[in-house]
Amino acid sequence: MGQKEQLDKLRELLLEEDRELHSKVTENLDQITALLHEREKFETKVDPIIEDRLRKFEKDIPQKMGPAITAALKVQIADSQNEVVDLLYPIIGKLISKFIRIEIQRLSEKIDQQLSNMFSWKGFLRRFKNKLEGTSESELLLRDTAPPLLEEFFIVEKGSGILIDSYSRNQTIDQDMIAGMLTAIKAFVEDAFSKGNQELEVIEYESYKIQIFNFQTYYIALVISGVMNAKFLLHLQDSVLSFAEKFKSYTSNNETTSNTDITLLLKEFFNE
Amino acid sequence: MNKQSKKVLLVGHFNVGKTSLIKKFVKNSFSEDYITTIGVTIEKKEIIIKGEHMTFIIWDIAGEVTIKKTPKSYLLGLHGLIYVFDLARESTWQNMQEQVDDIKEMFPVAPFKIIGNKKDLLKPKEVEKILELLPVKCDFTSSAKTGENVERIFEELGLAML
Ligand SMILES: Nc1nc2c(ncn2[C@@H]2O[C@H](COP(=O)(O)OP(=O)(O)OP(=O)(O)O)[C@@H](O)[C@H]2O)c(=O)[nH]1
Ligand SMILES: [Mg+2]
Repeated sequence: MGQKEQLDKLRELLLEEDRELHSKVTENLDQITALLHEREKFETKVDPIIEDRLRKFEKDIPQKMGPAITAALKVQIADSQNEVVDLLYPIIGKLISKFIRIEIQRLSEKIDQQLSNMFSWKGFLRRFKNKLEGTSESELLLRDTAPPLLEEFFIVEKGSGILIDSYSRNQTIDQDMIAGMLTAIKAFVEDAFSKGNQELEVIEYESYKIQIFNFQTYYIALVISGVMNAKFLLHLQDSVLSFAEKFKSYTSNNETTSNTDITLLLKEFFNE
Repeated sequence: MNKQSKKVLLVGHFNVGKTSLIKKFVKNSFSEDYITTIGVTIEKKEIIIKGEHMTFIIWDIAGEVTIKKTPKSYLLGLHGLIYVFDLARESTWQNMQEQVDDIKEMFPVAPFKIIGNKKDLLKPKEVEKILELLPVKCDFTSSAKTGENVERIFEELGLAML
């Protein structure tokens, strides 16, 4: 087989796995949805089942994909073609991890939705949690329903972690330090855990989430409070991309970007 | 932006006083306790050099016997480097020639200072003797404990980064 055929074969093999995976996910979703509709069974059964499936789903990926990929690569690629592996590895890794993340988020949002539609499981949980923690009911309720809100915006030079500009609703913390620390955390995580050129995209802590959008020479970090959902994230993604578009033309037009220009852009972004 | 921000890294073996030098410079404090650095800590200090504001973003990283062992991603985009060794501990400067060569090869244009720290632990005569034995000339001897030369090191580096 020529190199091209080998590659085609490999691509085919990989794509097939992907399709299988996808139909498996869809199947799982269908099953879960069906279960959700059976109200009686639902209360006691759905939780462990979902957890089980998620765990199995996560566990299955490396198990199912790993050997298949390795076998395919072994057969299809001669030793001299290591570059192909180098090229494919990060792409596959990225695809899978993104896919899983999105699917899980979709799944959990769907479950959330079903739950609140059917009966007040959340209400029960809240009261239970409230008993345990001694937090007031309304406070918890508020926390659960707080809409996502953009709190801070950082544009940071990659590598050096030098802050290019930032915008904040309530400037309480040192922005230079945050930019440096974020970059250090990013570097640490990317160095320690990621294979290939994957990049850190989210940092989460109790009521805040830092969403990171990576570009070639800089990255944009958004600090968001409240409860994030997929719709808001999508909206953010769009806004950031169009921001980056304008930002690029600013930086390429005048060599010394005046900060007021960027600040204006940022203001525009926040007022959206 | 009128202010200049510079990423500066301190490298060298474990326990030579990198964190202490930074603490002294940024917070003017010193502690005898040794708490080894894990990962990275970021410190910031603004100074004025020749009428210009300069913000040091200092990356305090864990010590490594060789620069090659330092995670590459920590070194990205740096503007200045300080190599620290312990005057009182020979093992921290024995392999210095190789380290300095590696650093110069990796960062041919970044200003770079070599510091012999913990001067206070030795008598002046002993310091002199060690300086003669060093494989590479060091730029400053310092003490994070007494504060000797600490500000000067960063000022000189800042000047070179202007
Ligand atoms: N006497 C004296 N002790 C010092 C001096 N500088 C640092 N020390 C002590 O040396 C020990 C190590 O200092 P650190 O600043 O933590 O060393 P480090 O280079 O950051 O070490 P790692 O983070 O492990 O790489 C501490 O106990 C400090 O108190 C100095 O100038 N004189
Ligand atoms: Mg340290």
